[in-house]
Amino acid sequence: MTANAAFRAAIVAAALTITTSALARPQGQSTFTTSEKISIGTLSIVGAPLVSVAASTNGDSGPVAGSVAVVTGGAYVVSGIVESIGGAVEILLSSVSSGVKLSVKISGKTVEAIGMSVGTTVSVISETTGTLLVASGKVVAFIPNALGEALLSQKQLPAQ
Amino acid sequence: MKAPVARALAATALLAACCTVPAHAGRSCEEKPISQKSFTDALSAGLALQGALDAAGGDVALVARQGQDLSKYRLKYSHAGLAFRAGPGQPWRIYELLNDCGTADSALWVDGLANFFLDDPFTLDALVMAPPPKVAARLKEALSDPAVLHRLHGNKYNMVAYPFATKYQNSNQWVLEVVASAEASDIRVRSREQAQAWLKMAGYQPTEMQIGPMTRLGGRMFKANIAFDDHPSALRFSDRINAVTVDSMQAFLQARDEGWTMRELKGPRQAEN
Repeated sequence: MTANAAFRAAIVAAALTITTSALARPQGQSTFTTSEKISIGTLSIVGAPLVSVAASTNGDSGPVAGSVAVVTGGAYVVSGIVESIGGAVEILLSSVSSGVKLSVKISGKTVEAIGMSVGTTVSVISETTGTLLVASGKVVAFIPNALGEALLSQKQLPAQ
Repeated sequence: MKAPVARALAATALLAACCTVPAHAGRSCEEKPISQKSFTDALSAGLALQGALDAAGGDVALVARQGQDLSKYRLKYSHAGLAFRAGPGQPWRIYELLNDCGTADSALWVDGLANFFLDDPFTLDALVMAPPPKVAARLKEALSDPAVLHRLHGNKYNMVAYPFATKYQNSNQWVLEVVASAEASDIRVRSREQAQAWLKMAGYQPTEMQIGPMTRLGGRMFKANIAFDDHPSALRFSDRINAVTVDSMQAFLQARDEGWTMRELKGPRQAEN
């Protein structure tokens, strides 16, 4: 049963990890407070992805937090996976058709559990409650809109 | 109203029996990816529940889900929580007791309506029990005060906790004891003992299941979250195991005849059998 107890600790740790990877968000996007950033199983609930419409190799037009509308409804391919501190991983996605690139910071466990690697196809699907990033039928990340955000929360009751 | 009496399980089905005792609710022990369908289902069930709660007109209600198939006990819903919002336009949250992943402990959680359906429940059906205004006002008071909620929480979890003992507590029992504290107008309920004394006085009838010695032994040996040592010997040794279930709470609240309204929601996905 110690393994199970450790899992509970892992959930909490994952939640903290996501907090540290909070992304800038435009109007109308996720307004999660840091304490509400959550990870359910291996799924990451994230703010808006960073989008760069054109590749910015020279660094002078760095990625900006983008409108989800720009990136939905298409197939993307993982073009890079960058590990960062605290077990978080940044995945870089390139659109198959439009050239749009985006990056999403998610839990490293997600990448591992789903078996994502460079070349994995990721679908960006628009739902009533937000935008889903799906690979191999599994949810990689969810970017809730206001409706979805109201439905998701997971925290322990505070002592007082 | 007498709570349904469930039939005994064959002793050969030891583990299967242990895993489907009423009132189990916990976080998934596996860290596995969520399928697109499970996630989308949970969000639509959460959205439907939000609509029903909004329509009920108050800021507080009991809600239940069908996490497991309990039809062999003639029960439908396995787990209840208390839905609460600070006011109209504010997000609904479910206050619930959850077992810490198969261990003998529990904690109180404040979860979103979609989270309530995220661990692949048996169906996505839900039950909403909305209290009459007087009880609603007192429930709101309790839900606004974490200290009150913690005072009525026993962190030693047991799926089949005896309803009139405080050694353990299951998820539905915590909900019922909080409801008891809001319902009791003749005495002030500040502790679990007082809540149970009031429930006894008010005629609450738990669900009685027939669980034989082999099944009990199996449950105790293989699961940290099942225990029978809080049950009175006279009942235990005649295989009569009493526990707080959603069905018994519903029957109790309906029988009080003070205006609780019950509404069942059919989920977008039904049991696959």
